[in-house]
Amino acid sequence: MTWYLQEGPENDVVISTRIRLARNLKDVSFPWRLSPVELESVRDRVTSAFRDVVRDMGSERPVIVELNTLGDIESCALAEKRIISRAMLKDTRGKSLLLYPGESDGILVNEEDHLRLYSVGAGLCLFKTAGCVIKCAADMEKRLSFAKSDRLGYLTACPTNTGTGMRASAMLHVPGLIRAGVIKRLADRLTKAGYALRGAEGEGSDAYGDMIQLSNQVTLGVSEEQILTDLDRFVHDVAEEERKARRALYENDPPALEDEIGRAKGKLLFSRLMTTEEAMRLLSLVRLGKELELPEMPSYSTLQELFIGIGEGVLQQAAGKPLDPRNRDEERARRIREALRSSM
Amino acid sequence: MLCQKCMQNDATIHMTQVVNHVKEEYHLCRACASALQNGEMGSKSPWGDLFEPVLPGPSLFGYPFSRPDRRAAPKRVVCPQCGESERELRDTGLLGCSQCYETFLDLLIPVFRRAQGHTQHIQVPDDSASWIAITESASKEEENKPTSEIEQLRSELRTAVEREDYKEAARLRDAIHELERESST
Repeated sequence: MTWYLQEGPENDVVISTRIRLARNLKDVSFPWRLSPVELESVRDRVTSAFRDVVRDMGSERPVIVELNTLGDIESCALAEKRIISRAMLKDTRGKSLLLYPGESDGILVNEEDHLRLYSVGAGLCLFKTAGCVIKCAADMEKRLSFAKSDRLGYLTACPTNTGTGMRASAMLHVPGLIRAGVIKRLADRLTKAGYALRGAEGEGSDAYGDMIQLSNQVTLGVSEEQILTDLDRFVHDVAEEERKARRALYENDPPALEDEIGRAKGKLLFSRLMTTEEAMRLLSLVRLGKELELPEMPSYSTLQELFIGIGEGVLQQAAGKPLDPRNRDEERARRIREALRSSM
Repeated sequence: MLCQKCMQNDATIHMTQVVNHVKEEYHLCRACASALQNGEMGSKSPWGDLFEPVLPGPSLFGYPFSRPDRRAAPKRVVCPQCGESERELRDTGLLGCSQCYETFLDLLIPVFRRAQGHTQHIQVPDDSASWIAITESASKEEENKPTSEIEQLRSELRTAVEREDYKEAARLRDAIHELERESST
Protein backbone atom coordinates (compact mmCIF):
# COMPACT_ATOMS: atom_id res chain seq x y z
CA MET A 1 0.00 0.00 0.00
CA THR A 2 1.30 3.41 -0.87
CA TRP A 3 2.79 5.39 2.04
CA TYR A 4 0.29 8.23 2.23
CA LEU A 5 -2.63 5.90 2.94
CA GLN A 6 -0.88 4.70 6.09
CA GLU A 7 -0.10 6.25 9.45
CA GLY A 8 3.38 6.09 10.97
CA PRO A 9 5.45 6.92 14.06
CA GLU A 10 5.44 10.60 15.17
CA ASN A 11 2.67 11.25 12.65
CA ASP A 12 1.47 14.26 14.64
CA VAL A 13 4.51 16.17 13.28
CA VAL A 14 6.30 13.95 10.77
CA ILE A 15 4.38 13.36 7.55
CA SER A 16 6.83 11.13 5.74
CA THR A 17 10.38 9.82 5.54
CA ARG A 18 12.28 9.43 2.30
CA ILE A 19 15.70 7.95 1.61
CA ARG A 20 17.49 7.85 -1.70
CA LEU A 21 20.75 6.31 -2.78
CA ALA A 22 22.69 7.49 -5.83
CA ARG A 23 24.54 4.79 -7.79
CA ASN A 24 26.29 4.72 -11.15
CA LEU A 25 27.38 1.94 -13.48
CA LYS A 26 31.10 1.30 -13.61
CA ASP A 27 32.79 2.16 -16.94
CA VAL A 28 29.93 4.28 -18.29
CA SER A 29 30.00 8.10 -18.24
CA PHE A 30 27.44 9.81 -16.00
CA PRO A 31 24.07 10.57 -17.67
CA TRP A 32 24.73 14.22 -18.57
CA ARG A 33 27.74 13.13 -20.71
CA LEU A 34 25.77 10.49 -22.65
CA SER A 35 24.05 10.59 -26.05
CA PRO A 36 20.39 9.53 -26.27
CA VAL A 37 21.44 6.13 -27.63
CA GLU A 38 23.88 5.59 -24.76
CA LEU A 39 21.23 6.66 -22.24
CA GLU A 40 18.86 4.07 -23.69
CA SER A 41 21.53 1.39 -23.37
CA VAL A 42 22.00 2.26 -19.66
CA ARG A 43 18.24 2.24 -19.19
CA ASP A 44 17.96 -1.22 -20.77
CA ARG A 45 20.76 -2.67 -18.60
CA VAL A 46 19.22 -1.30 -15.41
CA THR A 47 15.69 -2.36 -16.39
CA SER A 48 16.81 -5.89 -17.18
CA ALA A 49 18.56 -6.22 -13.79
CA PHE A 50 15.46 -4.80 -12.10
CA ARG A 51 13.19 -7.37 -13.78
CA ASP A 52 15.45 -10.15 -12.48
CA VAL A 53 15.40 -8.74 -8.95
CA VAL A 54 11.62 -8.46 -8.86
CA ARG A 55 11.19 -11.93 -10.37
CA ASP A 56 13.49 -13.39 -7.68
CA MET A 57 11.40 -11.66 -5.02
CA GLY A 58 8.54 -13.79 -6.36
CA SER A 59 6.63 -10.59 -6.65
CA GLU A 60 3.91 -9.28 -8.89
CA ARG A 61 4.91 -7.72 -12.19
CA PRO A 62 6.92 -4.53 -11.65
CA VAL A 63 5.80 -1.24 -13.11
CA ILE A 64 8.20 0.22 -15.67
CA VAL A 65 7.47 3.73 -16.88
CA GLU A 66 9.44 5.33 -19.68
CA LEU A 67 9.15 9.03 -19.03
CA ASN A 68 9.14 10.06 -22.69
CA THR A 69 5.94 8.07 -23.23
CA LEU A 70 4.04 9.95 -20.51
CA GLY A 71 1.50 12.66 -21.17
CA ASP A 72 1.58 16.01 -19.35
CA ILE A 73 -1.04 14.98 -16.80
CA GLU A 74 0.71 11.73 -15.80
CA SER A 75 4.09 13.48 -15.55
CA CYS A 76 2.62 16.25 -13.46
CA ALA A 77 0.95 13.69 -11.16
CA LEU A 78 4.25 11.84 -10.62
CA ALA A 79 5.93 15.13 -9.70
CA GLU A 80 3.12 16.01 -7.27
CA LYS A 81 3.52 12.64 -5.59
CA ARG A 82 7.23 13.56 -5.34
CA ILE A 83 8.21 10.40 -7.17
CA ILE A 84 10.08 12.35 -9.84
CA SER A 85 11.46 15.89 -9.80
CA ARG A 86 10.09 18.53 -12.12
CA ALA A 87 13.66 19.03 -13.39
CA MET A 88 13.63 15.44 -14.63
CA LEU A 89 10.73 16.28 -16.97
CA LYS A 90 12.69 18.91 -18.92
CA ASP A 91 14.42 16.25 -20.98
CA THR A 92 12.91 12.79 -20.69
CA ARG A 93 14.98 10.90 -23.28
CA GLY A 94 16.31 7.62 -21.90
CA LYS A 95 14.84 8.30 -18.47
CA SER A 96 12.58 5.84 -16.75
CA LEU A 97 10.96 5.01 -13.48
CA LEU A 98 11.01 1.48 -12.11
CA LEU A 99 8.50 0.87 -9.35
CA TYR A 100 8.59 -1.99 -6.91
CA PRO A 101 5.12 -3.31 -6.08
CA GLY A 102 3.39 -0.89 -3.70
CA GLU A 103 4.57 2.45 -5.15
CA SER A 104 6.65 3.27 -2.07
CA ASP A 105 10.01 2.06 -3.41
CA GLY A 106 11.49 2.63 -6.82
CA ILE A 107 14.44 3.51 -9.02
CA LEU A 108 14.79 6.59 -11.18
CA VAL A 109 17.01 5.82 -14.13
CA ASN A 110 19.25 8.43 -15.80
CA GLU A 111 18.43 11.39 -13.62
CA GLU A 112 21.65 13.06 -12.44
CA ASP A 113 23.04 9.57 -11.75
CA HIS A 114 22.35 6.29 -13.55
CA LEU A 115 20.31 5.01 -10.61
CA ARG A 116 18.54 6.89 -7.89
CA LEU A 117 16.99 4.27 -5.63
CA TYR A 118 14.40 5.61 -3.22
CA SER A 119 11.98 4.50 -0.56
CA VAL A 120 9.24 6.48 1.18
CA GLY A 121 7.41 5.68 4.41
CA ALA A 122 4.67 7.30 6.52
CA GLY A 123 5.73 9.17 9.66
CA LEU A 124 9.27 9.01 11.03
CA CYS A 125 10.79 5.67 10.00
CA LEU A 126 14.34 6.41 8.86
CA PHE A 127 15.81 3.01 9.66
CA LYS A 128 12.95 0.99 8.23
CA THR A 129 12.96 3.05 5.01
CA ALA A 130 16.75 2.88 4.77
CA GLY A 131 16.56 -0.88 5.24
CA CYS A 132 14.23 -1.13 2.21
CA VAL A 133 16.32 1.01 -0.11
CA ILE A 134 19.65 -0.52 0.95
CA LYS A 135 18.28 -3.98 0.30
CA CYS A 136 17.08 -2.85 -3.16
CA ALA A 137 20.55 -1.42 -3.88
CA ALA A 138 22.30 -4.58 -2.67
CA ASP A 139 20.06 -6.73 -4.89
CA MET A 140 20.84 -4.54 -7.91
CA GLU A 141 24.57 -4.58 -7.11
CA LYS A 142 24.57 -8.38 -7.38
CA ARG A 143 23.66 -7.92 -11.03
CA LEU A 144 25.35 -4.62 -11.95
CA SER A 145 28.84 -3.29 -11.18
CA PHE A 146 28.63 0.13 -9.53
CA ALA A 147 31.28 2.86 -9.75
CA LYS A 148 33.08 3.12 -6.42
CA SER A 149 36.54 3.59 -5.00
CA ASP A 150 38.16 2.59 -1.71
CA ARG A 151 38.97 6.18 -0.87
CA LEU A 152 35.73 7.90 -1.91
CA GLY A 153 33.02 5.23 -1.75
CA TYR A 154 30.25 5.42 -4.35
CA LEU A 155 31.10 7.85 -7.17
CA THR A 156 28.35 10.22 -8.27
CA ALA A 157 27.99 12.98 -10.86
CA CYS A 158 27.85 15.71 -8.22
CA PRO A 159 30.50 15.73 -5.48
CA THR A 160 27.83 16.62 -2.91
CA ASN A 161 26.59 13.00 -3.14
CA THR A 162 29.92 11.14 -3.22
CA GLY A 163 30.56 8.52 -0.54
CA THR A 164 27.34 6.96 0.67
CA GLY A 165 25.23 8.54 -2.08
CA MET A 166 22.59 8.77 0.61
CA ARG A 167 20.12 11.59 1.10
CA ALA A 168 17.77 10.96 4.00
CA SER A 169 14.92 13.37 4.58
CA ALA A 170 11.84 13.81 6.71
CA MET A 171 8.85 15.97 5.83
CA LEU A 172 7.44 17.80 8.85
CA HIS A 173 4.24 19.75 9.45
CA VAL A 174 5.29 22.71 11.60
CA PRO A 175 2.53 25.37 11.78
CA GLY A 176 3.55 26.15 15.38
CA LEU A 177 7.18 26.90 14.56
CA ILE A 178 6.24 28.92 11.48
CA ARG A 179 3.82 31.11 13.44
CA ALA A 180 6.40 31.51 16.19
CA GLY A 181 8.84 32.77 13.51
CA VAL A 182 11.70 30.53 14.55
CA ILE A 183 12.30 28.58 11.34
CA LYS A 184 15.29 30.69 10.27
CA ARG A 185 17.03 30.20 13.61
CA LEU A 186 16.37 26.48 13.42
CA ALA A 187 17.68 26.31 9.85
CA ASP A 188 20.91 28.06 10.88
CA ARG A 189 21.43 25.64 13.75
CA LEU A 190 20.92 22.62 11.49
CA THR A 191 23.16 23.97 8.72
CA LYS A 192 26.04 24.23 11.18
CA ALA A 193 25.60 20.53 11.98
CA GLY A 194 25.64 19.52 8.30
CA TYR A 195 21.88 19.15 7.91
CA ALA A 196 19.50 21.27 5.85
CA LEU A 197 16.01 22.60 6.39
CA ARG A 198 14.02 23.57 3.31
CA GLY A 199 10.49 24.28 2.13
CA ALA A 200 8.45 21.27 1.10
CA GLU A 201 9.12 21.61 -2.61
CA GLY A 202 12.87 21.39 -2.12
CA GLU A 203 15.61 23.89 -2.66
CA GLY A 204 14.69 27.54 -2.36
CA SER A 205 10.99 26.97 -1.82
CA ASP A 206 8.76 28.34 0.88
CA ALA A 207 7.13 26.19 3.50
CA TYR A 208 4.08 25.25 1.40
CA GLY A 209 1.18 24.07 3.61
CA ASP A 210 3.41 24.70 6.67
CA MET A 211 5.63 21.79 5.64
CA ILE A 212 9.39 21.67 5.79
CA GLN A 213 11.99 19.08 4.86
CA LEU A 214 14.94 18.12 7.03
CA SER A 215 17.80 16.29 5.30
CA ASN A 216 21.47 15.43 5.57
CA GLN A 217 24.00 17.39 3.51
CA VAL A 218 27.12 15.39 4.22
CA THR A 219 27.51 12.08 2.38
CA LEU A 220 31.27 11.55 2.62
CA GLY A 221 33.23 10.48 5.69
CA VAL A 222 30.16 9.51 7.69
CA SER A 223 28.52 6.12 7.76
CA GLU A 224 24.92 5.60 6.70
CA GLU A 225 24.12 4.58 10.26
CA GLN A 226 25.56 7.83 11.62
CA ILE A 227 23.60 9.93 9.09
CA LEU A 228 20.36 8.25 10.11
CA THR A 229 21.05 8.34 13.85
CA ASP A 230 21.86 12.08 13.77
CA LEU A 231 18.93 12.96 11.53
CA ASP A 232 16.59 10.92 13.72
CA ARG A 233 17.74 12.92 16.74
CA PHE A 234 17.31 16.25 14.95
CA VAL A 235 13.84 15.34 13.76
CA HIS A 236 12.83 14.35 17.29
CA ASP A 237 14.21 17.66 18.61
CA VAL A 238 12.36 19.72 16.00
CA ALA A 239 9.18 17.69 16.57
CA GLU A 240 9.38 18.37 20.30
CA GLU A 241 9.87 22.10 19.68
CA GLU A 242 6.91 22.08 17.31
CA ARG A 243 4.70 20.40 19.93
CA LYS A 244 5.65 23.03 22.48
CA ALA A 245 5.01 25.83 19.97
CA ARG A 246 1.57 24.41 19.17
CA ARG A 247 0.69 24.07 22.78
CA ALA A 248 1.73 27.67 23.45
CA LEU A 249 -0.25 28.83 20.43
CA TYR A 250 -3.33 26.98 21.63
CA GLU A 251 -3.10 27.99 25.26
CA ASN A 252 -2.60 31.62 24.38
CA ASP A 253 -6.24 31.79 23.22
CA PRO A 254 -8.04 28.43 22.82
CA PRO A 255 -11.33 29.77 21.41
CA ALA A 256 -9.51 31.86 18.81
CA LEU A 257 -7.50 28.94 17.44
CA GLU A 258 -10.47 26.56 17.65
CA ASP A 259 -12.49 29.15 15.73
CA GLU A 260 -9.84 29.49 13.04
CA ILE A 261 -9.59 25.72 12.64
CA GLY A 262 -13.36 25.29 12.73
CA ARG A 263 -13.84 27.89 10.00
CA ALA A 264 -11.17 26.20 7.88
CA LYS A 265 -13.00 22.90 8.25
CA GLY A 266 -16.29 24.56 7.40
CA LYS A 267 -14.87 26.02 4.20
CA LEU A 268 -13.39 22.68 3.20
CA LEU A 269 -16.71 20.92 3.90
CA PHE A 270 -18.95 23.35 2.06
CA SER A 271 -16.99 25.17 -0.67
CA ARG A 272 -17.79 24.59 -4.31
CA LEU A 273 -14.60 26.10 -5.79
CA MET A 274 -11.16 25.77 -4.26
CA THR A 275 -7.68 26.71 -5.54
CA THR A 276 -4.65 24.61 -4.59
CA GLU A 277 -3.19 27.43 -2.46
CA GLU A 278 -6.37 27.92 -0.47
CA ALA A 279 -6.83 24.18 -0.03
CA MET A 280 -3.27 23.73 1.25
CA ARG A 281 -3.68 26.56 3.74
CA LEU A 282 -7.01 25.23 5.05
CA LEU A 283 -5.90 21.59 5.13
CA SER A 284 -2.86 22.64 7.12
CA LEU A 285 -5.14 24.28 9.71
CA VAL A 286 -7.37 21.20 9.91
CA ARG A 287 -4.29 19.02 10.30
CA LEU A 288 -3.27 21.28 13.18
CA GLY A 289 -6.70 20.61 14.69
CA LYS A 290 -6.11 16.87 14.38
CA GLU A 291 -2.65 17.26 15.88
CA LEU A 292 -4.10 19.19 18.83
CA GLU A 293 -6.61 16.38 19.21
CA LEU A 294 -9.64 18.60 18.80
CA PRO A 295 -12.80 16.53 18.30
CA GLU A 296 -14.25 15.61 14.91
CA MET A 297 -11.12 15.87 12.82
CA PRO A 298 -10.31 13.68 9.79
CA SER A 299 -7.65 10.94 10.01
CA TYR A 300 -3.99 11.60 9.15
CA SER A 301 -4.21 9.27 6.17
CA THR A 302 -7.19 11.22 4.76
CA LEU A 303 -5.31 14.49 5.19
CA GLN A 304 -2.18 13.03 3.61
CA GLU A 305 -4.14 11.69 0.68
CA LEU A 306 -5.73 15.11 0.18
CA PHE A 307 -2.40 16.98 0.42
CA ILE A 308 -1.29 14.90 -2.57
CA GLY A 309 -4.66 14.41 -4.25
CA ILE A 310 -5.47 18.09 -4.82
CA GLY A 311 -2.56 18.79 -7.18
CA GLU A 312 -3.65 19.56 -10.72
CA GLY A 313 -1.96 16.46 -12.18
CA VAL A 314 -3.33 13.93 -9.69
CA LEU A 315 -6.75 15.60 -9.89
CA GLN A 316 -6.94 15.35 -13.68
CA GLN A 317 -5.56 11.82 -13.64
CA ALA A 318 -8.30 10.76 -11.22
CA ALA A 319 -10.93 12.51 -13.35
CA GLY A 320 -9.58 10.67 -16.38
CA LYS A 321 -9.60 13.80 -18.55
CA PRO A 322 -7.95 17.22 -18.87
CA LEU A 323 -9.76 19.95 -16.92
CA ASP A 324 -9.48 23.71 -17.32
CA PRO A 325 -8.51 25.74 -14.21
CA ARG A 326 -12.10 26.47 -13.18
CA ASN A 327 -13.16 22.86 -13.57
CA ARG A 328 -10.12 21.85 -11.56
CA ASP A 329 -11.15 24.17 -8.72
CA GLU A 330 -14.62 22.63 -8.81
CA GLU A 331 -13.31 19.06 -8.90
CA ARG A 332 -10.83 19.83 -6.09
CA ALA A 333 -13.60 21.21 -3.86
CA ARG A 334 -15.73 18.15 -4.58
CA ARG A 335 -12.96 15.67 -3.73
CA ILE A 336 -12.16 17.48 -0.50
CA ARG A 337 -15.82 17.56 0.59
CA GLU A 338 -16.28 13.87 -0.10
CA ALA A 339 -13.04 12.76 1.54
CA LEU A 340 -13.67 14.79 4.70
CA ARG A 341 -17.28 13.67 5.04
CA SER A 342 -16.37 10.00 4.75
CA SER A 343 -13.52 10.38 7.23
CA MET A 344 -15.33 12.14 10.08
CA MET B 1 49.74 35.88 -14.21
CA LEU B 2 46.50 35.08 -16.02
CA CYS B 3 43.08 35.79 -14.55
CA GLN B 4 41.79 32.66 -12.83
CA LYS B 5 38.29 33.23 -14.12
CA CYS B 6 38.62 33.97 -17.84
CA MET B 7 42.13 32.55 -18.25
CA GLN B 8 42.72 35.21 -20.93
CA ASN B 9 43.58 38.62 -19.47
CA ASP B 10 46.34 39.44 -17.02
CA ALA B 11 45.30 39.27 -13.37
CA THR B 12 45.65 42.75 -11.90
CA ILE B 13 43.44 42.36 -8.84
CA HIS B 14 44.48 40.10 -6.01
CA MET B 15 42.17 39.11 -3.17
CA THR B 16 42.49 36.97 -0.08
CA GLN B 17 39.65 35.53 1.90
CA VAL B 18 39.55 33.33 4.96
CA VAL B 19 36.75 30.78 5.33
CA ASN B 20 36.74 28.36 8.26
CA HIS B 21 40.37 29.29 9.01
CA VAL B 22 41.37 28.34 5.47
CA LYS B 23 43.07 31.14 3.54
CA GLU B 24 42.25 31.34 -0.14
CA GLU B 25 43.74 33.67 -2.74
CA TYR B 26 42.12 34.89 -5.93
CA HIS B 27 43.78 36.57 -8.90
CA LEU B 28 41.42 38.23 -11.36
CA CYS B 29 41.49 40.68 -14.28
CA ARG B 30 39.70 44.01 -13.88
CA ALA B 31 36.68 42.91 -15.98
CA CYS B 32 36.11 39.67 -14.06
CA ALA B 33 36.62 41.35 -10.70
CA SER B 34 34.07 44.06 -11.48
CA ALA B 35 31.61 41.49 -12.86
CA LEU B 36 32.02 39.64 -9.60
CA GLN B 37 31.43 42.78 -7.60
CA ASN B 38 28.28 43.54 -9.59
CA GLY B 39 26.99 40.06 -8.95
CA GLU B 40 27.04 39.14 -12.65
CA MET B 41 28.80 35.85 -12.08
CA GLY B 42 25.75 34.00 -10.91
CA SER B 43 25.94 30.38 -10.07
CA LYS B 44 25.11 27.99 -12.89
CA SER B 45 25.38 24.94 -10.73
CA PRO B 46 22.48 24.44 -8.32
CA TRP B 47 24.94 23.91 -5.48
CA GLY B 48 27.20 26.84 -6.30
CA ASP B 49 25.74 29.45 -4.01
CA LEU B 50 25.37 27.00 -1.15
CA PHE B 51 29.06 26.55 -0.79
CA GLU B 52 30.41 29.86 -2.04
CA PRO B 53 29.04 32.08 0.70
CA VAL B 54 31.67 34.80 0.36
CA LEU B 55 32.96 34.79 -3.16
CA PRO B 56 30.44 33.38 -5.62
CA GLY B 57 31.77 31.33 -8.51
CA PRO B 58 30.20 29.46 -11.41
CA SER B 59 30.11 26.24 -9.38
CA LEU B 60 31.60 24.41 -6.45
CA PHE B 61 34.72 24.45 -8.55
CA GLY B 62 34.38 28.16 -9.23
CA TYR B 63 37.96 29.17 -8.56
CA PRO B 64 41.25 27.41 -8.15
CA PHE B 65 42.17 27.26 -4.50
CA SER B 66 45.89 27.69 -4.77
CA ARG B 67 48.07 30.26 -6.47
CA PRO B 68 48.84 29.12 -10.02
CA ASP B 69 52.47 28.97 -11.11
CA ARG B 70 53.33 32.34 -12.65
CA ARG B 71 55.38 30.90 -15.47
CA ALA B 72 53.33 27.87 -16.35
CA ALA B 73 50.80 28.14 -19.15
CA PRO B 74 47.26 27.38 -17.87
CA LYS B 75 46.92 23.63 -17.65
CA ARG B 76 44.25 22.16 -19.90
CA VAL B 77 43.39 19.03 -17.98
CA VAL B 78 40.99 16.72 -19.80
CA CYS B 79 39.63 13.42 -18.52
CA PRO B 80 41.08 10.63 -20.71
CA GLN B 81 37.93 8.53 -20.37
CA CYS B 82 35.01 10.89 -20.98
CA GLY B 83 36.77 13.99 -22.33
CA GLU B 84 35.44 16.41 -19.69
CA SER B 85 37.65 19.49 -19.39
CA GLU B 86 38.51 21.41 -16.26
CA ARG B 87 36.51 24.31 -17.63
CA GLU B 88 33.38 22.15 -18.04
CA LEU B 89 33.82 20.87 -14.51
CA ARG B 90 34.04 24.41 -13.14
CA ASP B 91 30.99 25.51 -15.16
CA THR B 92 28.66 22.60 -14.43
CA GLY B 93 29.91 21.43 -11.03
CA LEU B 94 29.39 17.88 -12.32
CA LEU B 95 31.94 15.13 -12.94
CA GLY B 96 31.66 13.30 -16.26
CA CYS B 97 32.57 9.76 -15.23
CA SER B 98 34.23 7.77 -12.45
CA GLN B 99 37.68 8.34 -14.02
CA CYS B 100 37.13 12.11 -13.53
CA TYR B 101 37.54 11.52 -9.80
CA GLU B 102 41.17 10.57 -10.42
CA THR B 103 41.77 13.10 -13.17
CA PHE B 104 40.55 16.04 -11.09
CA LEU B 105 41.40 14.74 -7.61
CA ASP B 106 43.53 17.79 -6.71
CA LEU B 107 40.62 20.05 -7.54
CA LEU B 108 38.13 17.85 -5.71
CA ILE B 109 39.86 17.56 -2.36
CA PRO B 110 39.31 21.21 -1.32
CA VAL B 111 35.72 20.99 -2.59
CA PHE B 112 35.11 17.92 -0.43
CA ARG B 113 36.76 19.64 2.50
CA ARG B 114 34.44 22.62 2.21
CA ALA B 115 31.18 20.98 1.13
CA GLN B 116 31.45 17.72 3.06
CA GLY B 117 33.95 18.41 5.82
CA HIS B 118 35.68 15.12 4.97
CA THR B 119 37.90 13.81 2.16
CA GLN B 120 37.70 10.10 2.84
CA HIS B 121 34.85 7.62 2.72
CA ILE B 122 34.14 5.43 5.74
CA GLN B 123 34.37 1.81 4.69
CA VAL B 124 31.36 -0.36 5.36
CA PRO B 125 31.20 -4.14 4.91
CA ASP B 126 31.07 -4.97 1.24
CA ASP B 127 28.10 -7.32 1.26
CA SER B 128 25.97 -4.75 3.15
CA ALA B 129 24.46 -7.69 5.09
CA SER B 130 25.47 -6.25 8.46
CA TRP B 131 23.98 -2.93 7.42
CA ILE B 132 20.69 -4.56 6.67
CA ALA B 133 20.81 -6.25 10.10
CA ILE B 134 21.37 -2.85 11.76
CA THR B 135 18.44 -1.22 9.99
CA GLU B 136 16.21 -4.19 10.73
CA SER B 137 16.84 -4.11 14.47
CA ALA B 138 16.57 -0.29 14.56
CA SER B 139 13.34 -0.31 12.59
CA LYS B 140 11.84 -2.80 15.04
CA GLU B 141 12.65 -0.30 17.76
CA GLU B 142 11.00 2.45 15.73
CA GLU B 143 7.83 0.40 15.61
CA ASN B 144 7.81 -0.90 19.17
CA LYS B 145 8.71 2.17 21.18
CA PRO B 146 7.28 1.72 24.69
CA THR B 147 4.09 3.69 24.97
CA SER B 148 4.22 6.42 27.57
CA GLU B 149 1.25 7.43 29.68
CA ILE B 150 0.63 10.36 27.37
CA GLU B 151 0.61 8.16 24.27
CA GLN B 152 -1.75 5.76 26.01
CA LEU B 153 -4.12 8.66 26.72
CA ARG B 154 -3.84 9.85 23.12
CA SER B 155 -4.81 6.42 21.90
CA GLU B 156 -7.80 6.34 24.29
CA LEU B 157 -8.75 9.80 23.03
CA ARG B 158 -8.78 8.59 19.44
CA THR B 159 -11.06 5.70 20.40
CA ALA B 160 -13.36 8.04 22.32
CA VAL B 161 -13.63 10.40 19.33
CA GLU B 162 -14.31 7.49 17.02
CA ARG B 163 -17.26 6.33 19.13
CA GLU B 164 -18.39 10.00 19.39
CA ASP B 165 -18.08 10.06 23.18
CA TYR B 166 -17.15 13.74 23.33
CA LYS B 167 -17.53 14.03 27.09
CA GLU B 168 -14.90 11.36 27.61
CA ALA B 169 -12.80 12.89 24.80
CA ALA B 170 -12.82 16.29 26.51
CA ARG B 171 -11.76 14.70 29.80
CA LEU B 172 -8.90 12.83 28.10
CA ARG B 173 -7.81 15.95 26.21
CA ASP B 174 -7.58 17.91 29.44
CA ALA B 175 -5.61 15.08 31.06
CA ILE B 176 -3.19 15.08 28.10
CA HIS B 177 -2.74 18.86 28.26
CA GLU B 178 -2.11 18.58 32.00
CA LEU B 179 0.62 15.96 31.46
CA GLU B 180 2.15 18.04 28.65
CA ARG B 181 2.24 21.09 30.91
CA GLU B 182 3.99 19.04 33.58
CA SER B 183 6.56 17.69 31.16
CA SER B 184 7.36 21.15 29.80
CA THR B 185 7.96 22.73 33.20
